[in-house]
Amino acid sequence: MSQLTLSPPPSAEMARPVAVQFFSDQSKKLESELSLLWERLRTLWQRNFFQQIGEVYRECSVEGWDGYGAKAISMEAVKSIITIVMQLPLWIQTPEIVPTPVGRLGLEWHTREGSTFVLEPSGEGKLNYVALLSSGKKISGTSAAGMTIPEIAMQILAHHFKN
Amino acid sequence: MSLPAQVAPSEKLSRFIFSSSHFSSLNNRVKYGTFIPPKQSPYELSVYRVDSLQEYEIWQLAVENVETERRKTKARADLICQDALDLQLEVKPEPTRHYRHANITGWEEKDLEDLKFAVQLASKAALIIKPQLKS
Repeated sequence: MSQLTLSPPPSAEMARPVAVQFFSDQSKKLESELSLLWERLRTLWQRNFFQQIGEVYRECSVEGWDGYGAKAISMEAVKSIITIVMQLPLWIQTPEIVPTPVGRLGLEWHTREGSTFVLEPSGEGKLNYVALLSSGKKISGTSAAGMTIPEIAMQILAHHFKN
Repeated sequence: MSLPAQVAPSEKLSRFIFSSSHFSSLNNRVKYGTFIPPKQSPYELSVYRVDSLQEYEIWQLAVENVETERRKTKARADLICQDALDLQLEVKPEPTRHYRHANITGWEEKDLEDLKFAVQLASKAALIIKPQLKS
């Protein structure tokens, strides 16, 4: 994967304290870890997305947040999803963040043509992906190497979910 | 009151949504998280059989039988039973809570398999956002 580094736009710089503030009820150590993760996010959308993750975390970090007894979204789930966001290419459409009742966070893309793609960390420290393409094709699988986005998932994103 | 003991494939089902993180009003879509079953026994997803009900009656059902002081309905995901059957899931009436209540069962209880079911159900579902009540 290319390691293109961009200078953060001024508005992204300004967003930092707000984004990290969402997690400020956590320990200082965690806040520091999140700040470091934030520093590594390269694009404005990634940094705005970090803020969205904060908003979802604020809503969903209590047991039963979905009205059906969902597990609280954990800080581990937040860190996992940021790890995935950091791997996404710069040209990708901004995904939607999806909290699930099992306490995880996933990413979802959708096109007007009707294609959907989901990336979600599994309970076993791997990454699951599911694609429903507008052609009717369905593709799914699990990463072989931990939280690394598999090549096939990158190819699906490149073909169907470019910005 | 009662409904047929079997849910017909053509029956309309509603899953009430209490979290704004489970739908996108901007894109008018239900997010897949709505259909991930909780990882606890019994492994099932609660829905209501809403055939023959008017719109206002469906919301009334939610307000009177599903909502609590802490959980307020924000939207619902509408499916037909066949959408679940197509995935080899089952829809079983569970009328002890309410005569229209049912559960989607038959989940694989495996992360990837259940994620596939949830993504497919979400792609079939119609998002209906709860109308604002007039004060």
